[in-house]
Amino acid sequence: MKTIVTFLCIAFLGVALPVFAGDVEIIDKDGLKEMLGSEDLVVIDVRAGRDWSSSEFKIKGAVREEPGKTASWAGKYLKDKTYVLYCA
Amino acid sequence: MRNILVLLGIICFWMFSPESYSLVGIGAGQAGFWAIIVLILFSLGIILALQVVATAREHNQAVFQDAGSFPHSTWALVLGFSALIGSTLFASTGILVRAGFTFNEVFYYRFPNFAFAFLLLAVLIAIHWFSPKVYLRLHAMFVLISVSSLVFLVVYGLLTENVSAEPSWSTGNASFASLVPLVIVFIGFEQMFFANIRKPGSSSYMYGIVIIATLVLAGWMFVSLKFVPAERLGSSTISYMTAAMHVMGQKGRLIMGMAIIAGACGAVSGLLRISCRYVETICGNKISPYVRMVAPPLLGIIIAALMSAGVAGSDKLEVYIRGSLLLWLIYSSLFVLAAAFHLRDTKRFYVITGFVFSSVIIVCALIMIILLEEREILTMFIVWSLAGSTLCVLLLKQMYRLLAFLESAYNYKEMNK
Repeated sequence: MKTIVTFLCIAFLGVALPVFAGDVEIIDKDGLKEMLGSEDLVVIDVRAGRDWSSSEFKIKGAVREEPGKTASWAGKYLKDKTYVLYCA
Repeated sequence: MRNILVLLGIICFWMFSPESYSLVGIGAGQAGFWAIIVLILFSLGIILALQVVATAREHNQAVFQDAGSFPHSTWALVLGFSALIGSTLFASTGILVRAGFTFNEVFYYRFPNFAFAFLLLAVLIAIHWFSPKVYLRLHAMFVLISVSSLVFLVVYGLLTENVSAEPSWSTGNASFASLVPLVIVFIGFEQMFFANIRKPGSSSYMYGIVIIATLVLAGWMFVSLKFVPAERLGSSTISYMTAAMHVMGQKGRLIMGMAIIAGACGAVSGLLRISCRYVETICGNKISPYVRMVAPPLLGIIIAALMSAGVAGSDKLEVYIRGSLLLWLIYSSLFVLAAAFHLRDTKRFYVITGFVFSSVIIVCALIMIILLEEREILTMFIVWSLAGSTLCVLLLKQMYRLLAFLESAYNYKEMNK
């Protein structure tokens, strides 16, 4: 009984928590193109490995960060800017 | 003519792969003209090595005819297995992803890059079920398209003046780190002896193809340096595309895109063919038909799983690719050394040549290992790869026993019906 209840609680949290997470907007290339050049914009290229090295398109001024280690670099960025994460 | 094209496909599938284009571009950018000279020197060394093995084969037809016949010890089979299967799995993953990005960014951006990579993999697996005749011709066609595209760009670049910028022919940064990796361009040279091309004079064709292929790549390096500042070329991850763009603008990008995708098809199908043939040899003739049917899709599933798991997005993939290719280099050098040793009682020149060549290649491999930043990951990968290969080789060698057991069990059942 205890196992079933524990499992149900974990399953509920797994479904419910994303509802409380902040919405992350997805932006297309035309939308980003309009924003490029703005001083408030920071483009963070989170592609790694071949996803980055095989691509011809690297956005000028983009900062490269490691995708799986957000906690290690997120703190160095100011909260009042707009950040666009560019992935594969 | 048809045999020469098939031989071209077998010998040059790696030389005209996206990996080689990237290596020669970066090498040229970092070491300038020295890279061209070193590439040509490596090719001359390869031709000498080929002569050693060809002479060993003439001396004794029984040896060096088959992957399993060199040498007969299990450790050699393990080394070959880890080199070939590792290269097939990891290099193919990287190459297919590169082809996917190329298609998406050069030809049709609405078609997802990974979808193209998976589609390409499915097609390349499917062609392995065609007859060997059809397969070899398709394979040769892929390589020929890649070569032709590059030759077109080289000729155009040689005949055109660079009006945009002053070329910088040398960065002054020629070093072991920039020159030694060029030997990887010639990986798989020993496989041409398993091509089963029986036409007389095949050896001359082999040497001719290696020389011409090297000159084409050297020409490409020269043209790249002529049009692109060496510093930019050396630091670019897509040096081939940068150079093509500077040589011929958007048309150059399209032609290079064709070269990359065709080269990717040639490289992946070549790697699959070599691996499957090697596994067939380990298992023995009785199991060959089953291996021929099962091995390509099995390898394809593993490659697909690696792509799905996001291995292409990990920096470790480069280490795994480099590790597998280095094991292959060592395997090739020992292959030549074994041929030279086989001739020790008759032709001392070949003994010396074989020894010098093998030593140079092993030293190059060691330099690449030492200079790699992720040495620890590389070492662990090599250890695990050899351990896993040992298990696989021991299991595969027993496959015929398993088949015999299954056959007798089936016959027993039929008899008792």
